[in-house]
Amino acid sequence: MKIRPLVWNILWLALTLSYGQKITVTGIVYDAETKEKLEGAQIYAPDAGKGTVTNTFGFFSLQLPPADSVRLGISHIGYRSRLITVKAQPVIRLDVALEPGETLNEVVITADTEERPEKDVRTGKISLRPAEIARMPSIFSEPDLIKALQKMPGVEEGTEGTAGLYVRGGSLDQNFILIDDVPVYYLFHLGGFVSIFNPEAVKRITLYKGGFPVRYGERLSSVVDIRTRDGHKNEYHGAYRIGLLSWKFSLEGPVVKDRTSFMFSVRRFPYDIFLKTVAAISTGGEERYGYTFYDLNLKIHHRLGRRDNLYFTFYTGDDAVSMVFKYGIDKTLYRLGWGNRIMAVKWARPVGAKWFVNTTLSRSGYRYGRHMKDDWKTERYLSDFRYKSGITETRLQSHWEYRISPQTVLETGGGAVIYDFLPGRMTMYYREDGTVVLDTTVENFRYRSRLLYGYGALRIRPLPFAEMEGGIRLNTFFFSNHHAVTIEPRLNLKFSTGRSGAVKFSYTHISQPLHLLSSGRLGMPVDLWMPATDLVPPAVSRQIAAGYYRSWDNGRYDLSWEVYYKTMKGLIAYKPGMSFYHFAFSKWEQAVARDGTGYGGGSEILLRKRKGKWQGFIAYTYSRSFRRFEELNRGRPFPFDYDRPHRIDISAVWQWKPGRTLSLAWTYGSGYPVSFPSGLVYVREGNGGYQILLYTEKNNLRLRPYHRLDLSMQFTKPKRRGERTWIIGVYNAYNRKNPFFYTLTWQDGGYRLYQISLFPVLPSVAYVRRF
Amino acid sequence: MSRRPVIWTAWVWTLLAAGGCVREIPLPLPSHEEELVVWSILEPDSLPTVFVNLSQPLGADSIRRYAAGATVILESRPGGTDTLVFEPGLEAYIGRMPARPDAEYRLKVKYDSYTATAVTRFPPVPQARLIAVESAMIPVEEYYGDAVKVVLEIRDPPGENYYMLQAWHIRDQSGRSAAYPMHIASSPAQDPVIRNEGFRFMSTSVSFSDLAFDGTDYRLTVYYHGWPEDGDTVRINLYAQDQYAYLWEKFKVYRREAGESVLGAVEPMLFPDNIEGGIGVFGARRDTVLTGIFHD
Repeated sequence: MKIRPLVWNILWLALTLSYGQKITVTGIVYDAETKEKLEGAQIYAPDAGKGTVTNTFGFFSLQLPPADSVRLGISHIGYRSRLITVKAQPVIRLDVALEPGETLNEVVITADTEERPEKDVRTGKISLRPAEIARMPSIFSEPDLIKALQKMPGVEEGTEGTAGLYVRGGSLDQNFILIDDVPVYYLFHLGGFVSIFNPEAVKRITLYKGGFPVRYGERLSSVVDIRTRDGHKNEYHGAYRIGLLSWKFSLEGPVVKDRTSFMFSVRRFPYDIFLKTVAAISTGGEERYGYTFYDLNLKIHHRLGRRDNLYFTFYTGDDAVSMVFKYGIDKTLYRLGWGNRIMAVKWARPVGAKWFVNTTLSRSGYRYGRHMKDDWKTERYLSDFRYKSGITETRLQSHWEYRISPQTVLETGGGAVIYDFLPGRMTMYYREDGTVVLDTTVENFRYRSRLLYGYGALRIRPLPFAEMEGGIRLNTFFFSNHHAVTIEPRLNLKFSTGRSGAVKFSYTHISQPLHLLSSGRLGMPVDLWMPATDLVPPAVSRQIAAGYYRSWDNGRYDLSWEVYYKTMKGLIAYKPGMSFYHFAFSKWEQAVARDGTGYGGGSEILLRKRKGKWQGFIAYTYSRSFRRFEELNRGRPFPFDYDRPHRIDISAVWQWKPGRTLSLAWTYGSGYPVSFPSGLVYVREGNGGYQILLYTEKNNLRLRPYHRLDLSMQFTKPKRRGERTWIIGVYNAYNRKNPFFYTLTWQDGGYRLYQISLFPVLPSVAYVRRF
Repeated sequence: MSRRPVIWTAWVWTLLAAGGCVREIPLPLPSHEEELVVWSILEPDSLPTVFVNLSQPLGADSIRRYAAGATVILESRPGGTDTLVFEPGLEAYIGRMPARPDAEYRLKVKYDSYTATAVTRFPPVPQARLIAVESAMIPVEEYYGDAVKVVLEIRDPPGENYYMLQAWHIRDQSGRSAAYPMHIASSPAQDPVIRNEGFRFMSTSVSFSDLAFDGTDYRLTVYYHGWPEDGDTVRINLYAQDQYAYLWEKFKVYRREAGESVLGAVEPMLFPDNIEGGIGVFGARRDTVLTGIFHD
């Protein structure tokens, strides 16, 4: 094969570059106050003209030529830079604490070197920090990580107001959402209007739309990497927030000073207490209704000696609906609940001067449950119905990073996952006059499947202006008596054009061994995760992307322009008329249209200003996305449900004086396609007949375009301890009547078409107190 | 902490609750392109019946029930050509020659400027045997109830096959035999094949494919609501049907609930179509009759 000599040459060159290095400087960079590890800190040796940046755990390794002493500059945006001189040794271990800089202010949108788009080798990568998200206007002044990502090019929100995430024509289930490397299976509270992620607990969020690192797989369209905060190592700090949708509280501090810290946060929808009380009072105590959601995050970080770090991450979050009716001694109750639970232990340590290893054992699950009970003592009748569904995964993964030289990094690792699927389990119990009439369990199916994966990637700089990362990921998915092997090559290429410009290319091949059976367009709690099977094999996607990236004025402005083309195969969808309520789990493949394909492409532009009193961005996306199933739309391709050709987002934050900010966000998008009847026809049946709507094509009509303006003002004032912030926001400031859905109503002897709009102009207020 | 945030929060929520968010905005209906709509399902030894109609705009304020004056021709090989005659009482075009199960049929419909054609042929007779007809107590949705349990074994030939199942309770009354359709119980205990074909509450028939049991002998258990007495006869009609007859039956089941009100929330089923030059269905089916005695 002709490509083989080229690969060998590149490898040889990489090894040559790494050979003969005499001094290796390695260590950790961390925040001097909180002891939090700093990702993206720059380490620069001016005498040698070499530098590197820290990884997620603050680790760096830098190889330098022989010298008597080594001068190192260490910097990170928002921190005071340090210049350190140390005596030369073959291996220098150096842990560096950086003091937060005087110039740091929360309003400063951080833009370290790594975040400048021309610096990273990948296409399709966007990072956001909670400070940025907190400044964006949001519905009910409720900052939301997923809704912040929705404003980025290539990302669609789906139904208005919801925290949907549809990346480059992908579906909701095609996002690999990770909290500290642990997947999350259901993203929403409150019917999709709030995502489960509490920004107070988050340190950083990174979205990959393409050019995925090889350590990520399992979903076709995106990776959302969320890192939670470790907690302050020396002092106790906290915050509470009172908003219209939720109340939050967070606390962090040392358990053992300088060694062990915790970060705890909790968020709750508080109005169930009010609703229950009102219902109870108005019905004389006979009826109680309630709805609430909550999240709880806990992170504990413990330093084991100088080099070992242990992290414990816990998350639990639920939505709960309850209705209780009491009439004398008779009682009826209805309960509904769903939520995620995550637990993980991570061990991270450098091995020698150049290796860094992190290993995680985790368990993550989503469950949905329904309980109905009639206990009518006066009639000696008892019925009890329970339904449960869910998915649980247990995962062991280890990631190894070898920094051969600043330009040459080898990444390898692997993992094993056990998935347990519970599509549904119903138990029914009936008793009449003291006699058990029925006591049965139906649809009690469980599936277990396993995934083994391994990967390796090498990042090199074969030429001063060229950087390349090539890798491969191998997955084996086991289900019942079958297994499926997928081999996923990945390639990222970058060619620098001057000091602050670059052209990049990427090729991504990725597979997804799980399918989501989704009812309707919203991500519903009843949606079911199912494993790939011999009838429904893993879905596969291929994506090529290219782009031009540039920054100016030392990162004050940056520009990304990307084009991509993406194909998918092995997709599924419910057959028309089919939904969660109508199918049996044991032969579920019969209920779905299988072997679907998807294809689409687009062009995305993002122009950002990330420093100064005025900050913000302009994003524009032109994209198309189509699906094709033999059993849908008569086998013809049709636009994907969230195919939106044009999308514009403009966001700006203005700090006119310290502690005062005004922000605005305007968004415009073409209407989503829906299936619309082309007419009416009368159908004769038996002795009668009926008039029906004549649907002849799927997604043949576009809703009206969507646009709105959101505003937000924040007033922050220092207090004796900490600070307080008032946030006043206006959602949909010019009261645009955007389409939520269309409805056809029979009226005055004919059908009439109506647009249902959900959110008019909505003022909101929130209060935040930090201490 | 000041009480102000609490007061603010309560005030704004009250305002929103009082004002409400949902607004309904009338929009003009999209333009309509008239189409010739044709449907017919042939059964052996029955006179072919073809329905012909034209689609109407959504805003039409009167119902166009049928298109009279069309020329409807059915050609069969072997067989011959049959020109169907419009029967106003049935609002359909009726043939004069009973359908032959060994023939291939070609339908031609001419109406105004429209010409529509379609082809179909009968599937083989379904092979099945009745195993049991007995009473059962089953969970029905979230309650429970009495049911008639019908077990039959289908001998499915390889390849794509489509079926339709109907059950009748036969009762002798005053010396005359009367047949009552039995309704499929909307029970979670139903056979997965039946559940996955999306039968609906009080359906009297269910259409299904052999996807889950292709080429095997499949034992199907179906629960019906019915009130037969011990010793009464239960008749099962198991039809083999072509793909479009199958889609037509499914379409009729789903038409009421999919997409008639909220556009974009529930995916509607498209009008099945194997008609060239128009839209609609030309299909065929034939049945096997199985009878059993009900035992309480």
